[in-house]
Amino acid sequence: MTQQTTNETTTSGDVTAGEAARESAPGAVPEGLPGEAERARVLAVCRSNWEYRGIDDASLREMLAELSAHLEEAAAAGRSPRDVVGADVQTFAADWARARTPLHLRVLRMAALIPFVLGALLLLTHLIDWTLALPIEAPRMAFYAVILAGTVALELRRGSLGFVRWLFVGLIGVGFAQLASWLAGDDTLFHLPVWATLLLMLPGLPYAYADTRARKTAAPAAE
Amino acid sequence: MHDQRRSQLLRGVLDLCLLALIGERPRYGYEFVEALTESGLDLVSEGSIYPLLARMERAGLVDSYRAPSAAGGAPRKYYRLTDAGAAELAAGRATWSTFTVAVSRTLGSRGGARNSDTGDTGARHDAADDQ
Repeated sequence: MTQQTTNETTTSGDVTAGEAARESAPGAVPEGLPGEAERARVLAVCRSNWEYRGIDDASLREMLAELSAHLEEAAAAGRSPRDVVGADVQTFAADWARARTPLHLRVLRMAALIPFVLGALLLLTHLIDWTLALPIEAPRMAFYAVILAGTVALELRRGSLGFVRWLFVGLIGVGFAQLASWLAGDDTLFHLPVWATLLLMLPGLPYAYADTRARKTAAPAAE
Repeated sequence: MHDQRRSQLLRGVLDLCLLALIGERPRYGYEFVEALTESGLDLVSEGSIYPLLARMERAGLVDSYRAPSAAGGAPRKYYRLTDAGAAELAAGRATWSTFTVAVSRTLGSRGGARNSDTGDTGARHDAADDQ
């Protein structure tokens, strides 16, 4: 069974990475990718899936290291990533995430981190505009909403956004901003004071601090 | 159909198999797959052990530590049995023994009964034909 899958993978090995990725369904592990590219794609899809499912940074690194080592040893034994994660990498990643951290903890983390990221973006805008009260208009809200939704959707499906897709999402965002401007006008809906921006960031601060610490401790360990 | 049944049966006892393998010595992910394959138990997707190991770790049946592997490369995450895991393994083994005895008895006796029934019926038909 395992050997059969491996043979199927290797016989179609002349298909380029791009072609195989385009032909495959979202989340499906393509059979024609060269081994290294296929492993990298599986790891990228798992990483983005776990990030969006609210797995903390330390656990995420540990899971990626464990999976990466397994994929390498399986490859050395002549088995493909498909033999390891099954036909659907997203299902595999979701199962592992659910088993690793209970839903309520993941929801709590995401509920704190999403406003944190939004607050950080708004704080940057406060600084660029050099104002204590940021005017919020419909086109700006539409633009950020499209960027957020597009990034999450594409990264969940493909593992990484890449420059071309990022540009594509940006263009759609500009389109929606224009549409919002046409429908609702450019008038200021409300002013967001800087203290409200900081308040948005507050619940996510402990998580952001823990993630930064995990990243710093992981860096020397990797070396 | 045969492979599907094997896969379903293995899924039901995979946690016990993993506990038994950890009971022998601490192991990391890929070693479980190797040991299962050596025993003739092929997993449909090898990675299915990881969610199971994560659940067992959360339940306190196993704990983990990082150590260099004999195969080289980056340090691996090794799993070892806790006291609760050892107790779960002992209970699981007892359950499995009684279960397999019951299933074997059922499969064996039903198979035997069917054969003897067929034999009797055949004999009766023969007798009727003679008359």
